[in-house]
Amino acid sequence: MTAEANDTGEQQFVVVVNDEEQYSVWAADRPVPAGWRAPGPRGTRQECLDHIGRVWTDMRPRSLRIAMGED
Amino acid sequence: MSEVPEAGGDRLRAAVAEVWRRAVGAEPAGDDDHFFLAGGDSIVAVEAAMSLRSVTGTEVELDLLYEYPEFGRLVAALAGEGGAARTGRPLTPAEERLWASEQLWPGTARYHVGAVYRFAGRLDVAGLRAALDGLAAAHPALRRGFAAPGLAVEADPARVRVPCRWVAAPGVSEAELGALLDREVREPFELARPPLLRALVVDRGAAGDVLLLTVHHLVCDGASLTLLEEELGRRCAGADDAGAPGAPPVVPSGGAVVDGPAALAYWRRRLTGAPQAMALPADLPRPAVLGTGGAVHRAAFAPRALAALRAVAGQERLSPFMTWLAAYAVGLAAVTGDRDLVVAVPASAREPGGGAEIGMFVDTLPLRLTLPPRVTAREVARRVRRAVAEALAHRRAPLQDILAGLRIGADRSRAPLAQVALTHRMAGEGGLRLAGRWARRELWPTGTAKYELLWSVVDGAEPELELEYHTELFSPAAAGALHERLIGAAAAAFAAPDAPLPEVVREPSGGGDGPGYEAVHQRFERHAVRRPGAAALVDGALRLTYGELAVRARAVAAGLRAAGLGRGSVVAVVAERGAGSVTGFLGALYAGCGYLPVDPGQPAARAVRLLGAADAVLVARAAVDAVPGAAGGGPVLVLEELWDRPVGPGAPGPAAVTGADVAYVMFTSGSTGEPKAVVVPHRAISRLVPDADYLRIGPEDRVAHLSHPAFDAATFEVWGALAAGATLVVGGRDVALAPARLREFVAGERISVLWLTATLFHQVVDFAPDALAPLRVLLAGGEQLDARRLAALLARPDRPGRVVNGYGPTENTTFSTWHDITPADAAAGTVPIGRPVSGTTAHVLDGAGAPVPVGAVGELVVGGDGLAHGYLGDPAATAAAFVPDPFDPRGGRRLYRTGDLVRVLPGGLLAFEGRRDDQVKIRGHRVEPAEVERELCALPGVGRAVVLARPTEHGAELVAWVTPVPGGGAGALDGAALAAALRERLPDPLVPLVVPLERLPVNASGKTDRAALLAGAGPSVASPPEAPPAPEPADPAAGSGDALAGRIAALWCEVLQVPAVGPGDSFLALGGHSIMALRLLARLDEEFAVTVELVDFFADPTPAGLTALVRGAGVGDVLAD
Repeated sequence: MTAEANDTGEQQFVVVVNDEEQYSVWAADRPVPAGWRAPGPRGTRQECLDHIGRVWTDMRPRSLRIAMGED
Repeated sequence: MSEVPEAGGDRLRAAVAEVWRRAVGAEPAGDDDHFFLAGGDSIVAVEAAMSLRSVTGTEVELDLLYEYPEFGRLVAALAGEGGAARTGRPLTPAEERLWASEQLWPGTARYHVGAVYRFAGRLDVAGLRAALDGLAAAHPALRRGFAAPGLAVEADPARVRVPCRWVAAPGVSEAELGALLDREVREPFELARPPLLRALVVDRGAAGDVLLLTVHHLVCDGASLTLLEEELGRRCAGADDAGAPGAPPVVPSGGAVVDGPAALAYWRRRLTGAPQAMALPADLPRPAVLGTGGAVHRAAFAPRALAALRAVAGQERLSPFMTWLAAYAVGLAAVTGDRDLVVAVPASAREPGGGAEIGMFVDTLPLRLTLPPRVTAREVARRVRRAVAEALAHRRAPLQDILAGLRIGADRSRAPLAQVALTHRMAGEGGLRLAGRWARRELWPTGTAKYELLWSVVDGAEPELELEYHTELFSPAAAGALHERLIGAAAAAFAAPDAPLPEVVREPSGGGDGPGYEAVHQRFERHAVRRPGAAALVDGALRLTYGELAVRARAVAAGLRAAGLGRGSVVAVVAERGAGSVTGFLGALYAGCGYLPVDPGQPAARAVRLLGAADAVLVARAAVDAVPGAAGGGPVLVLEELWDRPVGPGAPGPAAVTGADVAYVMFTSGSTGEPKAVVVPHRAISRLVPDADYLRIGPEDRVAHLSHPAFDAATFEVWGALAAGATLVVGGRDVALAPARLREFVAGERISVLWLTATLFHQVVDFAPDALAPLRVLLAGGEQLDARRLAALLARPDRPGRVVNGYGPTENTTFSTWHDITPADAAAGTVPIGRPVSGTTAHVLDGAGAPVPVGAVGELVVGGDGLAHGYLGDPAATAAAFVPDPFDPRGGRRLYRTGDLVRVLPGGLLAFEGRRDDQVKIRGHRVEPAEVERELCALPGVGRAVVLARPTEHGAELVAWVTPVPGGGAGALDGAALAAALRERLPDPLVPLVVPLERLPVNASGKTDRAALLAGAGPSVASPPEAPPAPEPADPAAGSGDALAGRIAALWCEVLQVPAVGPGDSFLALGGHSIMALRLLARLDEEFAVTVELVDFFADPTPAGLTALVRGAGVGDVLAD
């Protein structure tokens, strides 16, 4: 959703997460889409992805965890 | 009069011819001239359409030339039928909606209004006829017709005759009368030929006359019908003026004026995040495309309940309409469990002063009601009052504009946003007084449904409640039960208006898959229970019925459960394509696990990596050696041992899952160098096959299984067949590799549905196009399809029933878009990948994330039910590829960036243009060159490696250029040996032709010059320097002094595109791969009518070896003569 230059350049991104607790990144200068929130942090695209690599430990969607009787 | 349109027609013809000439460079020679055959392409077609707009002064569709590519038809289309369209006006929004429905479902009575009046005596039919004609002459709407591409045209008032039939049927029974009225009301109108009104008088003798007025909703809304009745009554009574005394004159309306931005902004705000589907308890499986069939269930509201409802309505100052909407909302919440409801309601779009005009002046508003937890009936009533008041204040917003602003994906299995609706009228309204006799209006059912549920309330002392429902979704029994429950819940709630509504317990549903979700293995079980003797699987001589396969699946599942595996586990299935792999998949799903298909022929190093992703391994006995001892650490179970164990009748059946449960994990090539494990949920398979719109597979179908089980086309084949009750027919490896074998397979096994990769498809068209003749549906794709070959296939009289291009990444489950290929596509030179499959959204975005206009190229991003959860164990790669969806009004959804560049064609079809990155497709498999480069650099002696796809006539092939480590010489690198070493680590399609170089060429900017590599990459470079020199003479035959060997060597050169080969050269070392071998063997078959098995060929893949095989078949002697 971003220009190639954004992938490598200094453009700022934010870590975003939805109700299914799925993570992604979003350009910091654009409004966060409905149903997503930006709990932080903010940084380059790679910094955001690195952060997600650390915090997103259970990649099942939340609805699945609930359906499986967890959560 | 007659000359004017003629002259106009000639002028139009000349102007269109001029546009044509400018577009394709030549005047059209005649009416049959075809725009695309004459040289027009998709870009020129749009430009021409835009020029035609200025010629005609009307809004022509930008895909006009696709619709009418022949010159004659194009002129005719622009002229409109008979030239009458000249006076047409554009449609009002309300008309446009109905017109669109008529285009989608032509000839249905969905928008017919049938008003029946039963009179005690005889009618004066001549007087009625005159009154109807007078009525039509006075009201423009009753002279109005509708013509493509969406124009309202008016007929001459003096000439309009309202068809009025009279049928003598004395003593006719009620049933016979009903059948007569059914036929009359359902008879389609020819929309271009006004009036869209007709009458039928049935003379029942002593029982009195029955009058049926049938009018199309396009020209008459509910209020208009009352006006029509009143005026018709006056006219029959002798008045010949149009209006009632004091009524305003009939001023023709040019259509409702739309109050744009403010109203639209309100609706967008109001509807953001609204659910796309109501969880209606339909008892029939939802078709991919919902049709129009409907029926009606009638019920009453108990008097005491009615009193309670009206008491609350009075206290809360609700209008009668609001009152019933509140009852409906409470009832819907009870039967669906939904607390966020969108209900379509009609709203008058009449202009002040247009009060007495007959016409279509009703807009539809999507009213949203959100019901918080512990809400009471009284609070629902207040919310309804507020919502209705707000909606009326913003009513001048056409529904289609509201929907367009919300960018709702086209799911053809349900109406966008609102699937339920409410209409309301007072019982006193509606009736006809003719010759002093009064007859009340009775709306006659048309056998259609406008919504999934439409509740019609005729309000009065004893309200009449009618539920119109879709017969494709609800059986009569289910609809009746639903109606009674709905009314019962509303009655109970308003009897205690200050108590919280009861909470409805809903089945757990993963992310909106709805209650009663049935996964593919549960569908399989249903077929097994219903038709246990039906053929499920054919694998060579082995034939398994649904019953037998289900028993095996239960046994395998029991074994998995006994080993501690269950919901959430991932089970690797190591088996060749066939009964083993399919039983393994089914067994895993029966146990609630996801399966991970692993090719037993996998290089050992890669197998270890893949098996490491699984919690357990299910392996076919024949493939046990393929499972390294150290795999994963989980249990290793042998398939045959599990399914041979008897299972008791008490063994659990297939596990119930949600759509979000993991169905399978499949590896694809990864751009970071590591293969990526794509995690696919059940709902993604359901959306691919049983629920899909591009293809319906039925029990009579026989679906070929030729794809590699670890390739996601297998998802389509296996579950396409087994979830539909069809037969899955496994083809051996040789079938997929020799067109002649494929021909035998398709004919012998009576295959009806076949998927082929583009590469194989091209082979088959080249060598055995008749092989495809028996197919009902051929699907092909995975890479660009060659238009030339498609044209050749489609030109054959024995072409398959349908040829479908299927496109999509593994991350969106096999197919994201599809397209039925027509000869026009093939002739146009580019084959579109088409439009999204149902349950899928597709956006084409520019670099800033904004949708590109028609004609432009952007990155294709896809979303919907087909989306994978992500990459197993790789959150960062998942987050990078699966991004927030800013378009879906439900919010919180994701889109997958395909990396594919596509062009948006006029009409919305998509065309593949290339890749955003380096990813390539080799023989249908996705290859990230980076992964191959990484593996090459890990080999001893290799310094750097560049991997590129080189285009060849049949598709791309992978080439690697490698340079030695510092200090080593290129001579120390052996291309064939490196390729062989890669074969130990990578699957076959990822193994390139390896070309050693001293150094890589660089371009002016200092980067590796890829163009120079590709340009200089003749396969002759492939031979390492120390390889024996190729035979000297140009005539390959001379090398062995043998005519047969000479011909075979010539075929090698042709297929490998090399200048010469030696008798001992290895096919693989020269860059050959299995598909090229197939091509070679097919050519051999052509020249010598000899069939050589691919396995036999690969036993000694040299010209000498092949010559020996052919000679063994007794060919050489003939040739020697």
